[in-house]
Amino acid sequence: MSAADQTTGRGLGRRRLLRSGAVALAGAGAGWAGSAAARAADGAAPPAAADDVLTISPPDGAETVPYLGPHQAGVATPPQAHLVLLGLDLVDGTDTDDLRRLLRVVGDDAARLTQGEPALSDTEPELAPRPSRLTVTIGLGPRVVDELVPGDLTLAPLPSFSTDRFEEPWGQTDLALQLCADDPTTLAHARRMLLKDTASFATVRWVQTGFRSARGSQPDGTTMRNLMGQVDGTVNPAQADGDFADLVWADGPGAFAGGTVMVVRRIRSEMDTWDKVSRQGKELAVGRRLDTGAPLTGTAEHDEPDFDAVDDNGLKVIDAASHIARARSDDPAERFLRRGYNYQVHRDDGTDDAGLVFTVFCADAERQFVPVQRRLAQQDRLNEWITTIGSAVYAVPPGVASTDDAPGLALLEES
Amino acid sequence: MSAAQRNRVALAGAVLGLAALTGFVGLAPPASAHASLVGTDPEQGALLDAAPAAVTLTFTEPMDDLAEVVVSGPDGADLADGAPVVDGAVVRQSVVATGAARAAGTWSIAYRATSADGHPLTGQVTFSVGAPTEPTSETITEPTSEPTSEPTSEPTSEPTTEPTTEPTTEPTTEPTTEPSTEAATDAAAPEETASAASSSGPGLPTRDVVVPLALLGAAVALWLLSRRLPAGPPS
Ligand code: HEM
Repeated sequence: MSAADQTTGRGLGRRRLLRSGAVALAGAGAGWAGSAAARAADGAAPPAAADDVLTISPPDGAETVPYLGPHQAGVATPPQAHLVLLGLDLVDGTDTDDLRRLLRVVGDDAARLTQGEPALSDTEPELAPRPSRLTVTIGLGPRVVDELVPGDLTLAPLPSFSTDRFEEPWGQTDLALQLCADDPTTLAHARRMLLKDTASFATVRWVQTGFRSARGSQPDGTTMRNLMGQVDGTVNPAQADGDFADLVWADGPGAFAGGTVMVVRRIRSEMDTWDKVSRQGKELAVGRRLDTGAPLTGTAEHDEPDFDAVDDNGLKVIDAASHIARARSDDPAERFLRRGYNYQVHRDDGTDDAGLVFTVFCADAERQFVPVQRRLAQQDRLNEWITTIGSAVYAVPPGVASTDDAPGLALLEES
Repeated sequence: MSAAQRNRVALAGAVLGLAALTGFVGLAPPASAHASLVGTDPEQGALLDAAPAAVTLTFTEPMDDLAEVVVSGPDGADLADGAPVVDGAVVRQSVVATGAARAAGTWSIAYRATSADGHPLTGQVTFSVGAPTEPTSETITEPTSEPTSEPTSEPTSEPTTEPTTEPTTEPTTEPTTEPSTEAATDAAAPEETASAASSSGPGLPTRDVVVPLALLGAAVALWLLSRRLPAGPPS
C-alpha cells in the first residue's frame, strides 16, 4: 500500500479507512504528514478536518474540477493525465424519454464522482474520494441529434478524407463519454459506474484509453510529448486568448449555446518506419525541433515560426509541406482546440499499435476542422507515418447550473 | 566473494557491456543506405551557351513527391517556374522562360529532396551561362532572411563560390547504380557524385566503423559470458 492510497477522504471513505487501516497507516503515513502539512500551509492542499486521526492528503488526488458551469468540464480543463473515451450505441427503440433518463443518470454520476463523492448505489465507494480532477463530458452523435433532439441543432458526420483508413471498431457511435482524470484508478471506477448505470440504455462499441505524462512528473502546463517524440500541442488556443470562446463554444442554436463539437480521430503512428527516419528528416516533417519543440526558425518552443525564412541556399527553413506549415491556415477562424492523448495497445499479431486519440473541440467542425484536415490529407509530410483508423464527431451540450439539471436535457425540451 | 557471487557479477558485467554496446550501435545513424544525388543537368560547373529551360536532379532511388528546388540567376532571383515535378529518381524543375534575370553569369540550383525513408538530401550545384560571374561580384546566394539562429540540419554542401569549370573533386565511390532514367545519362558524372556525397552528411563512414566494432565487442562479451556461466553452481 503506498502512502497515496491512504488519503483520507470525506464521509464514508474516511470512516472505513480509519476502521480498517489505522494501524498500518500510522507508520507508513508519517512520511506524508510533514509534506502534506507544508503544502496545506501553501494553500495548495484542501484543508483537512481537524478531528481526523490522520490528516494525510496529497493535494493532487483531492483536487476537483467544478462540475457546474456554463460549459461541460473536460474541454477547457487543462488536460488531465489519463483518458477513457467510451463510444456507446443506444439500444434499439430508444426514444426521447429514454435518452432523457440516460442523460439524468450520466449527469448524476458526473456530479457526484467528479466532486469526490460516491455515485448513487456505488459498490466501491472507497474509490470515490480521490477525484484527481475527474471530468465527465457527454457528447451526442449525429444520429441522436438527427432523430432524438428536436429544435434546430444539426450535426453533420465528417466528410471522408483521402487519408482515411478506417478499421473496426473505431467509428461513429451514438454517444461519447469522455472521462479524464490524473489517476487511472479513479478513472477505472468512474468508467465502471457509468457503464453500469447506462447498461440498460446503451451498449459499448469501443473504449479508447489514452495518456499523457503523469501529473507531477513535470511542471503543470508543460506541453505533452506524443509517442513519436514530438512536443505536441504548442500552438493551441488557450483560455486566456481573446478568441478562445469564439473558437470553442457554440453560440447556438437555442439551448446549444455554450456547447461545443468534439471531433475524435484515432490516428496510428507508424512507429517502425518512423524509427528509421533520421532526426533531420523527422524535424523536416513537422517543421519543429525534436528537443525543444521550437520551430526550425527559432530557439524556444513558443517562438513564432517564420514560414518565409530561407536558408543560405534559398530553401525554405520550414518546409512548405511540413505538418505545421500545412496545418496553419491563413484564415484565423480555421483553428480549434486540440486535446488529444497518446494511446498504446497490443495487437493480436504480437506487435504494438501506438498513436494519438486525437480529439478536437470547436464551435463548428465543418467551418473550423474540416478545411484543415482536408489540407493535411492533401499534403503533409507527416502523412507518411500516420494513419487515421477511426473517426467520429459529437455535439457536446453546454453545462448545467444545478445538479437538478443534466447536460443535454435542455436540448430535449426544445421544439 | 563466493563463486556464485563472482559468477553473478560476471554475468551482470557481460549483460551491462552488451547493453552498452547495443546502445552504442543504436547511436549510429539509422538506415545507412540513404539515397544520394548521382547527377544533375546542367552539371556542376557546366558552362552553357544559353539559359536552360529546366534543370533536373537525378538520385540513386525514387524520391518523395515533396521536393523543393530553387534556381537562382546571377542576381540571386529565384527563376524556378512552379513546383518541381518528381518522376521516380528524377526531380525536374522548370525555369522561367523570359525575363532579364535569365542573365549570363553563375547560376545555382539548391535542392531539398526526400527519399522514401524520409531522409532529406539538400545541396547546391552551380553552373554558368555565357561566362561565370566574377567571384568578387555579388554572391550567388543571397540570404534574404537573417541566418537561422541554429542550423538544425546536417551541413548542406558548401555553397560553391568557385565559378570555374573545375569542380572540387574528392576521391569518391563510383555511382554503382546505373541511373535508370533518360535525364541521367549526361548528368551522371563522377564530379557531381562528389558534391552530392558531401551533402548527405558525415554519417555513413562513422556507421561503417561503429557497427563492425560493436559486433566485435558483442561477440567478445558473449564469449566471456559463455566461459563464465558453466563454472558457477546452479543458483
Ligand atoms: C498522429 C497524428 C498527429 C501528430 C503526431 C501531430 C503532431 C503535431 C506536432 C508535433 C505539432 C507541432 C507542435 C504543436 O503546435 O502542437 C502539431 C501541430 C499542429 N497540428 Fe498536428 N499532429 C497530428 C495530427 C493532426 C491532425 C489530424 C490535425 C488536424 C486535422 C492536426 C492539426 C495541427 C495543428 C492545427 C497544429 C498547429 C499548427 C500551427 O502551428 O499553427 N494535427 N501537430
